[in-house]
Amino acid sequence: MNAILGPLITIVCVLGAVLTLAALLIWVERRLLGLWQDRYGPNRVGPFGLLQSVADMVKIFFKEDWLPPLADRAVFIIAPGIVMAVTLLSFAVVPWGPGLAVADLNVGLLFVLAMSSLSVYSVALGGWASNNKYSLLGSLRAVGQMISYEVFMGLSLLGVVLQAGSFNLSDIVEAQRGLWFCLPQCVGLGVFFVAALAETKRIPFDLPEGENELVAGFHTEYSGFKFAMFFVAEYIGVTLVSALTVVMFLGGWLGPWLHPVAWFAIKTLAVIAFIVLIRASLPRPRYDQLLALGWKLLLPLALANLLVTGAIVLAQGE
Amino acid sequence: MDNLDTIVFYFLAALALVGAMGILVSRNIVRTAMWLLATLVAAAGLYFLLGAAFVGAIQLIVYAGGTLVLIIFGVMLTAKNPNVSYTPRTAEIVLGVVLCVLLAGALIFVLHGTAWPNNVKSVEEVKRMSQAQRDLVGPNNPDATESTGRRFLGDYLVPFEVLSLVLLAVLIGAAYLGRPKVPVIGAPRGVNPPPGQEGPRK
Repeated sequence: MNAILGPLITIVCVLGAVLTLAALLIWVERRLLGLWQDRYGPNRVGPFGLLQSVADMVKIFFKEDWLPPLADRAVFIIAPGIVMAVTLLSFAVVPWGPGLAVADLNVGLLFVLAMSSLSVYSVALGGWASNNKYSLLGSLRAVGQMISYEVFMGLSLLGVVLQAGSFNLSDIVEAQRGLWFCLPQCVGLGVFFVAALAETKRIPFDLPEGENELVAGFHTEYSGFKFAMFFVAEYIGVTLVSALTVVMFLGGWLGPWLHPVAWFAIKTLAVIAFIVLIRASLPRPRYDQLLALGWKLLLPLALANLLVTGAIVLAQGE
Repeated sequence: MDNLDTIVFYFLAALALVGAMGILVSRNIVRTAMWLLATLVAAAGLYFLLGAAFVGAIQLIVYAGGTLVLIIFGVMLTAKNPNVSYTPRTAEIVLGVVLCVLLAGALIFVLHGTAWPNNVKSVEEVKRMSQAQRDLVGPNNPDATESTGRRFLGDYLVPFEVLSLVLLAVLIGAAYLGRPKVPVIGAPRGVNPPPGQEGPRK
């Protein structure tokens, strides 16, 4: 019985933590944006406005669940579920502490990359099924952006894999005991962070939504709970890339004095706060600028980083 | 746990079969691609179930990721109306059915004619083995990532490099096709076609 019960408890804990954090993040982000943009942010519902997300959820439950006429009904309904499912699945391989992962896969990193390549479907299909030209344009933009940046995301992480000698995320954390990979792999960290922002469609790279050009991009026609799934999945995605940054570059759960899980949480929250700071300060590039940045700057950088790391690892091995 | 494995296997197998049927039955190009995605994901699930996590992850990245490009082509090449559907002619249906029956017959024949090994080990058994024993087990090796890499860059280096040359040719071809046919104002040097070779202005 314990063979089944143990993993089940871990799964419930991870699911609960991630979903609560995602809901809380909506409030944290709005408060932090308020702080950095010299205004208040939501501060009315509950102490410090903490219950704002709860109020939003209640409101969204009572919204009309609208299907656009001539939309592809089945695809329209499935699309938001895909992004929610694959983003949550990615958390299965994230190690929260020593031995604290739902599935300690040998190819954990590849699994995360595979899941992130599946999450593009949600946007592509959702935009197509809406039967709306703004939605379709938004989803085509999203596909172009996410397919491109997936390449650099994978390549930038391979330097870390070379140094750690493993795709397993726990092994990668353990390999950083002497020195966190953010120093030797600083180029990889930079490329990865930009690519991760683009993968999550966060504000400097939110062209698929681009509200002054495309109304709301791929989720123009979505309302009620289906919209909420796109919305919450974005915040789960932010948590995921932050956790991944911590695991790959910032030493995961490693740290003195405190409990490993506490260190992991502190580092992840710090990365999330940095992502919010970027949203508060950077404007959106043009679409051609976005692709030029990727293919002309990030790709050569990631390849050069991989080449140099490989050469050094090879030289040290002999 | 064996029971659970069996349930998951039948679920994934059913998903793969339903997906394959869906590809055949659906008339809409994007829906067809979606059913294809279901089949590919189910196959990846089977790989994970067999303990071949590396193959499963690669299946998801390469095939499932590639299907997306198929969808985008479907949407862009039928740009006038992305909801366009197509109807096959009777001759096409007959030809398809004949080919399917032939293929199914050949597969069943091969399945029956193969002597399947009985000594397949479970993942737990393999984990308890020494390295020398593991190398004998082969595909069930939990450290398949490393041995796959060694094979690619060792025994099969020439085919691997030839494949990468093919990919390079595809990349160059795509870049050539993607060049502007009419001069673009403000484009960097070398992007615009040389004088005298411009296409017709629109």
